[in-house]
Amino acid sequence: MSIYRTSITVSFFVFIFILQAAVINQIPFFIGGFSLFLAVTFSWIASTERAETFATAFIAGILLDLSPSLDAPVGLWTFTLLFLSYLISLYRESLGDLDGRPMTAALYLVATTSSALLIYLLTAALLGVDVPPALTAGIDTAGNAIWTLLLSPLYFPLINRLKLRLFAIGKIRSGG
Amino acid sequence: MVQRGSGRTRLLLVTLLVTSLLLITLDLRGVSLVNSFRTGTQAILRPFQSIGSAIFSPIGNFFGDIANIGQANEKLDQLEADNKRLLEELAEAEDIKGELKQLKDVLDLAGRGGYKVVSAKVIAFDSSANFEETLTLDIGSSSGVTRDMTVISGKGVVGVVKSVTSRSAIVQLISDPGFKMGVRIAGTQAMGILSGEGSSTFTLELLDARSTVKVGDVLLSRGSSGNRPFPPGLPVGVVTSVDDSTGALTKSATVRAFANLGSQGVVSVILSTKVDDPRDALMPKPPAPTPVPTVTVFITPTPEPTKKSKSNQENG
Repeated sequence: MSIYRTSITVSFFVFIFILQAAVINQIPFFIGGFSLFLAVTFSWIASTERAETFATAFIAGILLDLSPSLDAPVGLWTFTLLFLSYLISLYRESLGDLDGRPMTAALYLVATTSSALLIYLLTAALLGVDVPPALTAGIDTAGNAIWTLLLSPLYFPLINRLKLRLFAIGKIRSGG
Repeated sequence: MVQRGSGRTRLLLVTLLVTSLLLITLDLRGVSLVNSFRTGTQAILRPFQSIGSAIFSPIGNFFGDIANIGQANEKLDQLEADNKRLLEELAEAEDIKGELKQLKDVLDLAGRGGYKVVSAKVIAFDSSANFEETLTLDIGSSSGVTRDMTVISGKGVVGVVKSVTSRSAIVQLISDPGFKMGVRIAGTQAMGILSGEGSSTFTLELLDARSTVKVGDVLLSRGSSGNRPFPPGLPVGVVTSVDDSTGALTKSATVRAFANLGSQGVVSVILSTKVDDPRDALMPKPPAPTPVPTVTVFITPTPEPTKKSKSNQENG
């Protein structure tokens, strides 16, 4: 992963992180909440190489770990996203190109974001962090899944096109 | 299909995983450097959050209101129910307060007269059904109440017990058109007959045409044989107008009762009397005059200038 791509990735995820904190978190959703950050992360790494997937997961995880409202130890989100990125990288060939298959893309995003939340909760509980009751956690996860599913036609194609354009500019600049 | 990575990619993954585990370990061990990152993030995020809140709060509130419209309706219903309950409680408290004052007044009067009384709550007021003015009390013969006992309020005579059951009693009010009682004018001791007229005023007819009566005269019960139905000396009413028509055989006057007959919540039934005749001792006290503030003006004389000060002023 080149310095340009890394800086683009970091800048983009910082922007999404701020967008999540400043805008998305202000909206009271009918059920649960919506993690645009997680949805964007898994959209981003859906079409990247293995090494870049891990690096992206690490960057996204570190940013999530820096969320001021978290009680869990720093590094837990990084660990969770790295673990999931590893699983995604293992089955990337099976997933194929998601850009032309919106339903598969939506289901992939629902599965990955929900898994990320559940793995995070489980790991946090194992580390002795106070986690919400099972019912609350279930409702929040289900709510996030619903919004991820409903909004995926909006953000998934957008993220893919933005990513292609940003990295295409990088290739032109570097002469590649 | 499971994809296997190269050794370099695997090394990267392991390195990143170890880094994340190291961060977790450091945080759990309380390394302040790791924790301070979050504080720094908060400082960076705060302005963005403030702007976001200012811009998106109205939108968020709109969606929140839609989402919580059911809860808001429930809350509104609950608040309305609470308000209704509190208003009922307030009205009940006011009612109890009024009854307490009436009870205090009537017991005070009974105490001054040396009467043995039993207090009762008025449970019904009947003034129109059959042109009779009556009250129904919540006590009866089981409380020692019998026919022809006097019923008083804190201000004076209310009526006389007309009929009794074990747990209720009907009282004929002094305003009843068929009610008559012997009264005397406090001070002059002139006697007369007070008759109810079905309204808030009564007619007084003096027995002796030579007696005098004037507006403001207080009427007290004359007393009956064996103090039944009326013990003597009970306040009844006050003369409001006098009929001076010439040629009348007796002098008559219009009287207003002391007791507010239409708004009695608590009354007392006189069971027995200790004092034979309290004479005019039970007369209601006249209202205390409103104190007029005395205006005091303090005048401080201006000191006259002395000769020395005068000469100083002249010199300059």
